[in-house]
Amino acid sequence: MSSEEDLIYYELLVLRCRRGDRDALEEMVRHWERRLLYYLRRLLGDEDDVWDVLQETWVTAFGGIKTLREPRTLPVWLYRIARNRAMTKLRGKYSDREFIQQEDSGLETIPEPSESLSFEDAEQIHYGLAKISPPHREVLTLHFLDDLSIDDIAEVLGAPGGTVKSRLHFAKKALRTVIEQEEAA
Amino acid sequence: MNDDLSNRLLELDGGGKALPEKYKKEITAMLEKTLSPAQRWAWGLSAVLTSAIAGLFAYVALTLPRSTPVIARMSFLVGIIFSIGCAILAGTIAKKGKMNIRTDPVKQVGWMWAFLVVMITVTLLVTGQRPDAVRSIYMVLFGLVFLLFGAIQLVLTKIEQSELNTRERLLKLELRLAEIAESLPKNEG
Repeated sequence: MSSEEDLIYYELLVLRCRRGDRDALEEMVRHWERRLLYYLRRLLGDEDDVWDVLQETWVTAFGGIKTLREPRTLPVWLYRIARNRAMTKLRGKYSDREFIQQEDSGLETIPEPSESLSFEDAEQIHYGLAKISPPHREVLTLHFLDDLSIDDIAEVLGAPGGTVKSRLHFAKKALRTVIEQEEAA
Repeated sequence: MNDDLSNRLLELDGGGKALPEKYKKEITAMLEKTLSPAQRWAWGLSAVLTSAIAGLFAYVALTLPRSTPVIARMSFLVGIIFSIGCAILAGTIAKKGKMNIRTDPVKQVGWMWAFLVVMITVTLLVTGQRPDAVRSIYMVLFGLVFLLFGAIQLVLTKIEQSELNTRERLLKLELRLAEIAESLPKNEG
């Protein structure tokens, strides 16, 4: 979850962007481009698609920053733009619905992990994210990358908070199982 | 926990690697607002037109009859100065082919305001020398309407900029306080 300091920083950054401050726009790009890149890479398979969507995300963000009503929700807004762009790109390959169906069908097949893992090992998480289903991967990426709250993730995904909560729970379970299986192998 | 974790994840994803040149160029282009060839031509044309207007003013000012009042000549001089200013501005933009997206509305409105005040002053001076009182009053009222619109625009821009400045300063202050508040427990511990 974002601290008060972060929220004020987002509001200040948006205000500066609205005034046409080039430095503020560059700061916004610098701050989020790697995170958005990580998120988009987990969402899209093709590297060219990832860069295309990242560029489209910035085009939309630069154009729409003046209309952002809640400046403190800047990260959520940016991830939502990136997700919408990515989904447009993915449409035709597999739709949003299939994304959710994959998750629902995957829930019952996840075996219980033997013990709880603390999710401190970045390498294991990075490896594990590639092995779990796309919806699980997406929700966990948002959770680990920017420490977004359940409500924030729900807003990015356009899903109810309850759904996100359960998805996050099962995603963690799936990730733990993958990591355990890797350790056992 | 998650700040460290997210940073480590980003490192694993090639966080240290340089971003592709093509992407960097695209971002720079977005920030600099490069003009399209048509826009460049339009700015170039504006520069030529305003230069022509300045030339026209100069020609008229030089060919005026000797009996023309000094004030009337001055109005042409003002027109020449502002036309040359506009021509330089448009010509520079056309030559560079790009515009900095940081625009300063106060400066733009200030420039307009200065032009308006000078022109209205000249108009009033010219009006004062006219023998026809009714027409003079009509011209004064006409000039004052323009001045009023200009003043409203100036005041609105000033208010908007003041609000933004105040909000920015408050946010900077809030940010500083939040930073201090977050560092306090660490110091105590």
